[in-house]
Amino acid sequence: MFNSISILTIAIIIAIVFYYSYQQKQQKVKLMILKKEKQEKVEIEKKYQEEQKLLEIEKNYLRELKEKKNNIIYKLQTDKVKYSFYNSDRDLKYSLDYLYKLIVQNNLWINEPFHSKLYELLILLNENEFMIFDRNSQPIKMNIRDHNNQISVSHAYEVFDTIDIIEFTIRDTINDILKYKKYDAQNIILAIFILLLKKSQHYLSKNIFVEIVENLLKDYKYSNEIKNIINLINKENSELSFIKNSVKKAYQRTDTHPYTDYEVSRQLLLDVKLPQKFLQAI
Amino acid sequence: MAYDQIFTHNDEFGVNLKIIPVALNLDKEIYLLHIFEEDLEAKKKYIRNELILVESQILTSTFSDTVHFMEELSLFDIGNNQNKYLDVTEYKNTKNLKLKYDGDKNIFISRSEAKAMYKIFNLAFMGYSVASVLENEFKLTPQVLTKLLHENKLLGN
Repeated sequence: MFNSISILTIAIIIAIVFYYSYQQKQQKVKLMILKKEKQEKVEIEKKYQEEQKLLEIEKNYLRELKEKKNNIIYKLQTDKVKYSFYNSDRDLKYSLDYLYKLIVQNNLWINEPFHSKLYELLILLNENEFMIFDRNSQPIKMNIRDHNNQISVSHAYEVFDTIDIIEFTIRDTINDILKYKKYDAQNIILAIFILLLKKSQHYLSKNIFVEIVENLLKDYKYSNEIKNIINLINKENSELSFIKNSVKKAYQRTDTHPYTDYEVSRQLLLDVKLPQKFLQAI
Repeated sequence: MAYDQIFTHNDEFGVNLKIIPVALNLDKEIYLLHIFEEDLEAKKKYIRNELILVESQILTSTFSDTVHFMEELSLFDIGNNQNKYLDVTEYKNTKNLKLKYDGDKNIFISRSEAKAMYKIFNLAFMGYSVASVLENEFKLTPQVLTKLLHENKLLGN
């Protein structure tokens, strides 16, 4: 009996011990779980904070980017458009250079064959000294003894510089000419050059000169049109007679120069070699 | 241009020369061209050359030629066929001088006209110093004369 009781008590004690130990274990486990949970919580908070930090950094970065974006000035396409022109500064005298800029560069008339033909005429004027006889001038014949005591006869009279007359005429009429269609206007410009070149002389070679001028337009596409325009200019009361009036005005307003045929005539330079065009912005 | 070959109208000492026409006979368009320098400080004018201009032709270009021309005028009919500038002609018993020049017209000079022209030629030297034209005559070249005529507006009408 005693044994059974003792066994029972022992069993109970053992059971109790077990129970306690079990409970302790349970508690430990619970504590562990709590700890873990705490740790997890802390970790989550940490993570959250880190994320927040990252977010803030990102936000700041984005804001900075935005600000930067607002401050950046994007370069526009500001390169000037380049056109192929001749180098008139180098090739031509000042007044011819002015004419080239007035006619070609201001209107962007770089279409061929007009552009090259005009430049050919400008170079021709530049290389040679063409002059137009002043009709108001009275040629004076001079019998003058030269260094060898020989009497030589020469003539003196007033001449206009052909370049001056062309420059005045075109400058005076360019606004009226530009009212015409592009190709007509270009032909009118060339017609003025030809008209005044025909009136010019190069020292005494007056007759040869008319032929040479006519040859200038031989292979030009619109040579017939130009001839018609010249006829129109010379006709009174025609649409283009304002050009003739302007030429008359040029004779009145331009200075004359003295000329004597005693001078050694210079060679006529007719072989015009066109230089290369190059791209140039205006 | 042609004009750039004309150097200058100043003489070798840089003295500015002027040119003025003196009418000897307006009907026949015969002029004496005075070429002179002016000294404004000394208030003196020095003749440097004299030319004879007939219509639009300069007949004589040196002082000696000009004096020669005037003397032929002065001699009138005493001159003969050795005259350089004037021929003695006779028409209806009246003697005249005919100008030898390359013009379109025949220019005849009567005795009275010749006398008048000679008189004006002598009057033209009054007020000028003549010595300089003999010692230091300004030698003209066509270029210089052309420029001189241009600057004094004698080339235009």
